Amino acid sequence: MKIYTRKSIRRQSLNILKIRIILWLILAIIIGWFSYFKVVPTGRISYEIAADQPNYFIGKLTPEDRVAVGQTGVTVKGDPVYFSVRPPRRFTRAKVTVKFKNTTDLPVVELGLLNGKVAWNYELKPLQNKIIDQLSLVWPTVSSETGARLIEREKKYNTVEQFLNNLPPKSEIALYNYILKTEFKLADYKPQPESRAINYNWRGAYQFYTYIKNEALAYVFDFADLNLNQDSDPVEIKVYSQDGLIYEKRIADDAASERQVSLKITDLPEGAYRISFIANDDIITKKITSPQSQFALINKVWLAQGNAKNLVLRTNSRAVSAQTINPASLSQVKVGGGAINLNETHKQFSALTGNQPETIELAKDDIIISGDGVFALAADSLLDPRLPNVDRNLEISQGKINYILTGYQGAKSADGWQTAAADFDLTKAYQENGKYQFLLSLPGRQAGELTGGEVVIKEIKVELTGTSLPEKIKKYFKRPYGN
Amino acid sequence: MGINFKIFFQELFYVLTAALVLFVCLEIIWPGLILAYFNLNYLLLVWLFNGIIVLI
Repeated sequence: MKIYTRKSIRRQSLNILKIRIILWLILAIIIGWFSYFKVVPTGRISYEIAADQPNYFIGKLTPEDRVAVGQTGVTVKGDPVYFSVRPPRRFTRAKVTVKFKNTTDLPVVELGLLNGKVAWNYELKPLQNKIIDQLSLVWPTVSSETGARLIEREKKYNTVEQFLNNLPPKSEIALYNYILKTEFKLADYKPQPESRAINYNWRGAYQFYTYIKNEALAYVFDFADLNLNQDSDPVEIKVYSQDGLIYEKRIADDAASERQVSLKITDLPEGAYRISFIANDDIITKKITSPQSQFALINKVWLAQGNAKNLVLRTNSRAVSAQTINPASLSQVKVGGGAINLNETHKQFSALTGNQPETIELAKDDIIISGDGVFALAADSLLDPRLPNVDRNLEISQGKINYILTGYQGAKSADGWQTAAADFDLTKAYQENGKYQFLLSLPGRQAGELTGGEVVIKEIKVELTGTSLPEKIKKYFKRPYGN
Repeated sequence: MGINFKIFFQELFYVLTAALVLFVCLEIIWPGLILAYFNLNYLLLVWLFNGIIVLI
């Protein structure tokens, strides 16, 4: 039998106290550690994963039928693939670095951030452009302090600023990841005395160029809501000039099946304007009425069901793609002298166009036609103020393009892998369930098609920056009283 | 020594119980605070074994 003396009891009590202090301190440190990574008081944090080992913060590459997990990383079999980023709190910027290998003929790899879910619009940033990488090795190149690069067929300009102040003919310039403001005027344009109606059914979001000269920019859109999904179907109209957004209007879903929205902007200078009709696929535009004669849809046309048969479109696209989700719309789409045999739903079929502009003949409607140019209902409406983009469809070798202006910096190569980064503004980005959606685009890569080479993603690193805790506290105390 | 171990596991049990409750509450209030870094199932297992040791 053990006898407890007062001294031994006191020692034991002291031991218990010591153990308690240590254990509870450990728990407090652990909670503090978790809180630190949740609050991120420095305003900066980075997450890095091997592409085949996603974690809580960086999701796996999807959809599964477009990716294959291999020994060196994740092979991309189709375009595009997606991944999500879940930050622990709000941040303002994200720098995403991707380590990848592209041994295919496809020259462009881009990374995008979802900015709006209604029309699924992604802000794309370049990761790799092999055309520019190769040309910059053989053509003279000058760089500006702002990061812009001018690549010339023959040395003529010593600085980018010199080039910008003394531009050559626009037909000789191609751009990539660079906004160049150039004057665009239609010599023979005359305003129409009366409005005309475009009686075609367009599904979902679309954007088009129009042109005005000494007249008001006026449009009336009549649209219907199919109500195929339960979500609300707001519509947004945005008008852009060369300098950016000049007008926007939002129309909430008021449960009416037929709605109308009009816009009228006066005192605008002569030129081309881009109008963006942002809506989800539940919305069908039934009629567009305007005094403006120019109507050129940009990059994508979705002629909904209920249109007249044997539709004819004109395009200046260098490559045209067709896709349908409706089995009744499977048909042959004539593109110039050739044809796209649309014999499968949910699959994109493409064809290169010959001499521009080209005619597209559709035997059936409910087909999504897309391309890198514009689509018009009449040959004299092919209005495209943009300069050619340096992508897989650009024909440099024909000698027409003598200058390439780009903000693209090029990917870094090491051990057979390329590393490139893209910087995004998170304040404009769309966030759902705390996640941002990123897209990895490889235009031309189609699942199920055998092509030489492969595209492998090895690592993804996301560096987030935002307001630090001291800045947040300072802001809080600087706020006017009562706000 | 044996008594010290018993005391230690008893004290550890209290802390693990508190940790489990706290972590679950924190996870409900701020999703991702704990689960982003640590799987609570492991803590539950440790807590369970510790409880058995205390009872033996």
